[in-house]
Amino acid sequence: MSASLFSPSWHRVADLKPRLRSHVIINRHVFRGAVWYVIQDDATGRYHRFTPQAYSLIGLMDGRRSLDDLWHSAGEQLGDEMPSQDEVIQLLSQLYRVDAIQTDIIPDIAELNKRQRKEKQNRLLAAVKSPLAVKIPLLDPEPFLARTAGLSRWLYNPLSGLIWLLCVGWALGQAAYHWPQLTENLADRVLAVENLFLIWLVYPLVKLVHEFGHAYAVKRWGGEVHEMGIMFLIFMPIPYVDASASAAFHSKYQRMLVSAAGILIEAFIAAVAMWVWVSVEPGVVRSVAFNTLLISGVSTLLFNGNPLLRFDAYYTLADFLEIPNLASRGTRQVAWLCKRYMLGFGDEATSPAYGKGEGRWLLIYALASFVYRVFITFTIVLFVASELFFVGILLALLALYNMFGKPLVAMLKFLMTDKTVRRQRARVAAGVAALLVAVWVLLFIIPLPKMTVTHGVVWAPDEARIITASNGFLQQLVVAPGSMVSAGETLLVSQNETLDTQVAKFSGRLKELLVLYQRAVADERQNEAGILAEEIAQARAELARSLEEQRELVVRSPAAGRYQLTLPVDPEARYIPRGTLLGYVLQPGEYQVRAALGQNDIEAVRSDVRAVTVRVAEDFDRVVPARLIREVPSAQRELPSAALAVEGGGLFALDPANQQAATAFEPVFLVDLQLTGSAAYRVGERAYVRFEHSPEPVGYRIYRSLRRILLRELEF
Amino acid sequence: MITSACHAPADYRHRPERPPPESGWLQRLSTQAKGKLELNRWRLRRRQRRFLRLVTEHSRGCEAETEQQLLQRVRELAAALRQQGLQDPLVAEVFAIIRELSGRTLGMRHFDSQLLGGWVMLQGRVAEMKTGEGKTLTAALPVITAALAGMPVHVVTVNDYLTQRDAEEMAPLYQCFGFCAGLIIHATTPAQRRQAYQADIVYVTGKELVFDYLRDQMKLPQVQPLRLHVEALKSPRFESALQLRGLHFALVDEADSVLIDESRTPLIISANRGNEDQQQFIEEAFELSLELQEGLDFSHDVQRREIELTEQGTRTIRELSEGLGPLWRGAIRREEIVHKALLGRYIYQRDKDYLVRDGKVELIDPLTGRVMEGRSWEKGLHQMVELKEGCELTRQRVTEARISYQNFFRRYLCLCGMTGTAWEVRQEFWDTYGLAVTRVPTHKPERRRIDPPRVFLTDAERWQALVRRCQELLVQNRAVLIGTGSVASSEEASDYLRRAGIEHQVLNAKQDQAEAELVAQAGQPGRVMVATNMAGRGTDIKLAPLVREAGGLHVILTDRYESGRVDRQLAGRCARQGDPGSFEMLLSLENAPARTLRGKSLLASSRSLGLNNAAGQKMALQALQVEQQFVERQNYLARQSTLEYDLKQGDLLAFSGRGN
Repeated sequence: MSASLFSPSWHRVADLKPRLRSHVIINRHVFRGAVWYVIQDDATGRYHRFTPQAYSLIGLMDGRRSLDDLWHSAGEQLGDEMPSQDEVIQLLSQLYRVDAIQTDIIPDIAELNKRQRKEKQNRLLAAVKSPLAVKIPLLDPEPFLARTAGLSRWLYNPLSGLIWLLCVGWALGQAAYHWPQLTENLADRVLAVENLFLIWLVYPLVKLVHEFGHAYAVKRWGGEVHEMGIMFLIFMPIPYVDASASAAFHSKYQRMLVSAAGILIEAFIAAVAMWVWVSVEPGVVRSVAFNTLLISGVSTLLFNGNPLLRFDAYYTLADFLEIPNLASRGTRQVAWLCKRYMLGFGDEATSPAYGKGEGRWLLIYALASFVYRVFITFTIVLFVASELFFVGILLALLALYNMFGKPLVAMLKFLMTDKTVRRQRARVAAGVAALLVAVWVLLFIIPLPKMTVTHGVVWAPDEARIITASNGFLQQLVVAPGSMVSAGETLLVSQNETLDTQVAKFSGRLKELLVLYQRAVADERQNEAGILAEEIAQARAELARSLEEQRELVVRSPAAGRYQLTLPVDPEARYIPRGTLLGYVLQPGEYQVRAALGQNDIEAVRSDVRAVTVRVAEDFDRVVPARLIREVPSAQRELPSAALAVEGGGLFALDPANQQAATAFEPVFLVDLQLTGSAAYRVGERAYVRFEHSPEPVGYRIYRSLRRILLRELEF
Repeated sequence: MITSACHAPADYRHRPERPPPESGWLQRLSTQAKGKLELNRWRLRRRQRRFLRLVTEHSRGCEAETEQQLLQRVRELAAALRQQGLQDPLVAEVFAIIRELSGRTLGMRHFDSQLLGGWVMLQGRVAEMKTGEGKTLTAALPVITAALAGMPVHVVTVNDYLTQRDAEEMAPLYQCFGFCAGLIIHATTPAQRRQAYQADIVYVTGKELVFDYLRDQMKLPQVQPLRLHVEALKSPRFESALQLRGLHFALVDEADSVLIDESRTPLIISANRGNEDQQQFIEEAFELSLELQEGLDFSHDVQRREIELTEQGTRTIRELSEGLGPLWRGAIRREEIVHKALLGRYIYQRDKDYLVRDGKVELIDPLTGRVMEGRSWEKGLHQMVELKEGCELTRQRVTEARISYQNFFRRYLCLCGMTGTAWEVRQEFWDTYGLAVTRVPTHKPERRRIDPPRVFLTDAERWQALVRRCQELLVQNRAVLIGTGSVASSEEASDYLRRAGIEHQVLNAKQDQAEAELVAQAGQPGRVMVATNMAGRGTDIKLAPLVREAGGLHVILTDRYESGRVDRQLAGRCARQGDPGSFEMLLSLENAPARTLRGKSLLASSRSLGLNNAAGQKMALQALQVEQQFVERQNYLARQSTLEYDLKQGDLLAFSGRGN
């Protein structure tokens, strides 16, 4: 028997005559089709949700009837659903702890004092435990809000909603229109020193307006706001208000609006800033507008608008789903599922989900938010740790402990000490062992296919290149590009009239020199003849060079193969300077790919490649096997093609300092691959290269990449 | 170190007691670290030696002085103790005087080991002294010293007989110092109790003390001292109804028995409060439970002593209870009561868990095997057992006050204890009560011979071996004490002995009046005594000269008890104070439960090996030991959960504004 009706401690409470304290208000709410009672305590500003069963008991507490009496009459009312004595004690204790009830016993001052001290300690401890989010309450804005409460009616009504919609819609349109200007070189602009200063000026203001948005939304339906202060989120001061009074609102849409008010207000601010930005000439005002836009648009969406973090959107979502405490109950739901299915507890544990769909929502939310929080925590931790090493490492350890250590400790403690576990030791041990083994096998035993994917370009070897040897205007494409040619076949013919003239000039000059030479010999002018002979040799060489150049105007195929032209369309009559790469003549099977690899990947490619496959961008569906033929032995920063840079759609960030050449920010390694098969490719085309390595379990890979991140970010 | 700061004016209003310890993790950590230090074997060794030297020095001076002179010195020392606290130099002088006066009034001077024991206890620790080391006399040292320092002293013992005996034995010494000693046993009337509690030194049985405390708590309208003063001003009458004057200084004799073994179940004061409807409800439930089928409606786990209703069972109950009274309406309520009926019918067994005497069901203490008078089970279980046995139905009892031993003794400002067996549970003493255990060396070397244990396959073989062994020993003119596990096996043993024509006495729950005198005579030649564990504990078995020459008392253990400590306590009945004696175990594998994997495998392999060879014997012994350890562990967990429950409820019930 898991539940017993009687409690061994009942005698201590049976004669108490509890009653609700006079300032406590009870509201009836409907959550997911079920009735709940929300107890509102104006003195502490806290809200508690109770089931109708609990309410039927609480409702009877009038200070005249003893608890024993109450319990019996509640039992008669509720029949099968009657609460056990332990449940009643639990309920009373809960109510007492939140100061919602008083009894006929004079309260113990020492106990009250102790409780208050403990609460204070807890609050302090909470700040120490999570130093990345510390709340400091400062003042009570209620008097000010009460005086200006009229404003809330102006703010929140259908008409202003319509105006809001129009403004934000217009701003969105403008943003789309000005997108390139807005986003151009964003990182540089945002992180510039003077801009950071502006952000520091604008940020608190925007957030203050945001918070007043919440506050007035609460006032709109008669709630009270008694706490306002500053929260340090990752050491960044952000104002906050306590808008929990909205919990008493009946309509979930009202509650949602309170939570969403901040985002709505900020969106409106963003719209106004957009208008300023569009209509003002560049200058300080425009910069301020831009930053306002950035803060109220981007940061709001990233933080407040993300329901996976416990900010505005989370509360909006929870209200929308009608599941209060979505996050904490989600965690409990996961724990319950583990207990039920992994440890085989059956009915011993009760699910925190009440309704039918609630369980599913809780589970989805818990998993999604956990994954996201892990991600965001790691990011923040790495960021902080790379800025301030010692503090960062401490914070990192704390954050990691909060994320993984604490739940783990709690789990272990549960497994060690819980009574149900003790009773089903074998089953629990089997469940835990199975899970551990499964995780271990998955991480360290089962090899999973491992691969490195990178980008490259189709590449031709030097001997296959057609390069013009002389300047000239292209006159005729003798062979159509793409056809097969044999070695020495004429491919193109160019014309260079200057060159023709030069040939004529050099040959005339030669003739002249020859005549002069003959005359000098005949006149026996020995010296002159000697000089002329040298000039003749020089002129001959010049002529020969010009003739050679003229001959080179007819471009012939360097080898047999498929002929490809790299010149733009309609190239005829175009001037082609000497040394221009005209095209390639390649045999099928001679195509190569030059791929660039980051430093993290080169090791695996160098030591362990089982197969290489390539997909070219043009013909994406075809997978072409390839062979690794060459590796440039040293790292370099010049990319073989601009297509490999991020700007060109590739993977490697360019060095912003070097604007001319395609120079990567971090060194890359180049490898050449020989494509097999008889297909033809376009040289310079992007190729997606996949190196297949020997399968390896995931665990080792995670370990390696963690090691690498730590080494790189923290030199640790 | 007990300082005089602990001591507060002892009156009815102030009622000092230690507040519950903080339970923060930092606190726990420091307690654990401190425990590591305090439980070290070498802790206090040097101070002990220095202290002994001091006492010897003072003793020399004492011998020449007259009683009047000594008492005058004591008065001066008492004043110093009150001012300076229990400082070693002062205590040494006091001890020397006590030793001297004890020698003159009682004819017994304390040995050095006893002085050490007394000093260890004054440090707020548990002194582990071997059985027969004269713990009663040892206790007088710290008791008198604490009383001199102005503290009302409670000496807590395990049973009424020992309480009375110790109090009477020590009374002359106390009188000599001008202290009056109160005595509280079960039969003491409330008025006498009140007077006894006003004495400087009170000898009291553990249970009586806790119940008196609980009854006081029930009478107190308030628990805070200030409010209590106000209440006392409002009505002077309530003060005169109170017994205790707060929890100042307690010395617990047989500390492991009182503080550990008995602390598994909390003490409860209950009152008859059932009405006609509820009686009918119980009767209906019992009849309804007869209709349920084992395996189908409920599952019965014999080893764990658990019964669980199945889904089918809850359905059956719902169908059967349709049309019955309003109390049957709630599902939890009706399932609970039927569950109780099943528990009463299947789990609780006559002569093991309870006796039926004069048409009444009486509970048996599983530890001592004695009848627990006036005790009953809760929530209808008792009534179910009564229905099962066909007794007249008593009224249902409702809890009015409840406290666990742990929770009670933790409230003492100064707590100390002595026992023969504490080292095994030193960690628990520390964790639960903050008591460190110190072993005190024996006065004379032990002369106990331990014969090799023997294990038999069946009970019959074991009893036959027992009979043979008794016959052998009786021929040698020795005395035999046989320890059994339960009343039933006592009876069985007695049966075998009678058939063999061996004259013997049986001590068990059915005849516990003259027990102590009988045990005291167990040292006569040719005497055979069969007793459940702990029978006549604390009684000195005086050996007849003939028996001493023949080799002293022989103790035979026939069943391993629920902890190795209790086995050792039984062994401690023989070879006391340097007397000769021997101990042996004759065990049987029949009905030996094996609840652990290791126990099961050992049992199986010992059975297959047979018990006629050494290896089989060894394995069988090990199997029984593993089982005993398992039981010890279970009991430990039960105690922990009792305490945990108490603490948790304390937190949870803060709103009730009163304790217990």
